[in-house]
Amino acid sequence: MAVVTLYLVATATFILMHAVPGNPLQQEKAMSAVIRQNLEEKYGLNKPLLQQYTTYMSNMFLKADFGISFKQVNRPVNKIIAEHFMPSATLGVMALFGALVFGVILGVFAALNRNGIPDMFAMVLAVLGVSIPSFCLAYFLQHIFALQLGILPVGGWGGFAETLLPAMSLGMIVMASMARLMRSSMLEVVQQDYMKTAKAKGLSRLQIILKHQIRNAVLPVMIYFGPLFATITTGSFVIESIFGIPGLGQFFVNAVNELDYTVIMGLTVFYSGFTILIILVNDLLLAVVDPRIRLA
Amino acid sequence: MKEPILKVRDLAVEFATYGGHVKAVRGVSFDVFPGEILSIVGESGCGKSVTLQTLMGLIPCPPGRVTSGSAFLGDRDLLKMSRQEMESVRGKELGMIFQDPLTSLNPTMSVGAQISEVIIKHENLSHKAAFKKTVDLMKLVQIPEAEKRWGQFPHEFSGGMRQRIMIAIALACRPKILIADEPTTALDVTIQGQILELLKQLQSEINMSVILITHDLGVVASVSDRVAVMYAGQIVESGSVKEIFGSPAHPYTAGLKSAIPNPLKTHQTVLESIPGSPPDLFSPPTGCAFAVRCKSAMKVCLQSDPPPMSLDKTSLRADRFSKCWLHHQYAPLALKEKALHA
Repeated sequence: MAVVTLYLVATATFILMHAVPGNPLQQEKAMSAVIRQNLEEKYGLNKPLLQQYTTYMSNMFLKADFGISFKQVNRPVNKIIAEHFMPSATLGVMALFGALVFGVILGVFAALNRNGIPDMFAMVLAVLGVSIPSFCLAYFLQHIFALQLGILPVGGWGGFAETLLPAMSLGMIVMASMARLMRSSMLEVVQQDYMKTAKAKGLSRLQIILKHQIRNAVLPVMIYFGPLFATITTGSFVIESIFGIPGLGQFFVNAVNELDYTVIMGLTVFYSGFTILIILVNDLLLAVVDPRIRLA
Repeated sequence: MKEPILKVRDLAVEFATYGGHVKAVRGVSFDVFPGEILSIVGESGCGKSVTLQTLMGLIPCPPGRVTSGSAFLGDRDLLKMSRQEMESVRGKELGMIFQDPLTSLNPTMSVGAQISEVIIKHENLSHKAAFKKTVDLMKLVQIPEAEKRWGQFPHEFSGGMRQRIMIAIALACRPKILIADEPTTALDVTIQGQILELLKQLQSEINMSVILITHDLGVVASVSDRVAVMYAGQIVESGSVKEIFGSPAHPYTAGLKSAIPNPLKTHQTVLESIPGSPPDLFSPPTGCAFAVRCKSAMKVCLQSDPPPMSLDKTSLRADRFSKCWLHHQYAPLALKEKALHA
């Protein structure tokens, strides 16, 4: 299944990419016909499109070779990914887990104080989180924490301090949706008959909330966790450029602008593969947490 | 005469809704004696579940509110207990089982853990001792291969087995009273029989009292000692099973009895029913709640609510009564005959 999905993603990307007018060799400076021909030959652009497609696909799926970048001379796409994936992944993981932890806490907090001040506060925060685009939030955070308060660096990459602001801007939207999901899920579980059973057993309020309510309420939230990963990765392109982080995002954006075919392809397939992997891990985790899901 | 272990007096509960206050329970009084099975019968929405959930403190307040009454378990009033006191009573002295065993068990917790949770809470046992006790309980409610099934989850059990688990949870600490809220409604008839049989057997083994809520007169007749018939938030008639079925003393009870299909009457083509529907509990009628549906209603029935009238000639028993004006000394005898011996 995963391989089929990847193949379809790669094919769609290939078709779309070639449907865009222009080609990677187009430059402002005029190029002599000979140089152009040589370059086309080097990158295989003179071959028919179908042949380009089969060569590329077989290289990718059989040898795990994404080819060489058109724009960054002689730099293999595999190397770009290897060198720049870590910052992106660190950021993504921090943002996701921060979002999960704070989102769930906020949702639980809101649900337990339903219609009270904490609930209103949490839900206003959640609506803001969902509606403010991450790039706007990034500038706000930079302004407040870096310029006004001066406690965190404006940008850059290196230590833990540098990761906080970008992770916050990236994770906010996920945290907000998690909080809303968790809240409604908690309120739904409260209505369940087994909550009444738990109360009839004479358990204390805290025991009921921890052992029966949160445990069941967190399941539907977990289901959304995997797909939300996609949101994080697409958001990270912008965030990385705002904070000057040497992640993969900038390569993606530049590659699309410059029609750097191999880099676009490589990164798209890589990201799809990674997302599929995360969703798979998420599903496996879900089966561990929810006894009703059986591993087939 | 034995002393009752639970004395409920004049209990009234209402719920705040957008449409106004629903008076779900309007002055209910009853006693529960040691070692008996008391059935509370009535149609949907008559307040039988609310009454007993109030005793367990399971009614969410708000919107629910107990407006009057007391419920003495021994010498303590359940309705005036603090939350901590109530927690120590629930599951320990009062056990409860619910209608739908499918939804009443936590789907993500093994059944064994759900049973031992009660034991650990109330008896301060170690997990190991609780495990042993849980297995014994599962054997008591006749679950085969109890050790193996301890770690299984509710979805791996059949409906009847789940209800057995619920019973095990309710009986874990040997409660004085077991409240069974329609325990067999969600089960099919053969399983229903087994569960009732089990309940009855355990009741005499542990010597606890059972309050059985049901709308199934067949269930009432087969297991209970005494019956209270509820209508529109009040107990309209109370008596022993024999009295309720043999000589019903309230037109509503008589109506319920004649609505039971008779398999021997072959020429009967239309099933009997009581025409009309229960009154609006937002603003209950000033007179008898059943008057508008009653074939023998008199003028007085619409004007004032009848008090419970004792039907026991010796007046020693408070639990044989009917809330009906037909039992007043001035009521026309002919009308009474017609209403109750149809």
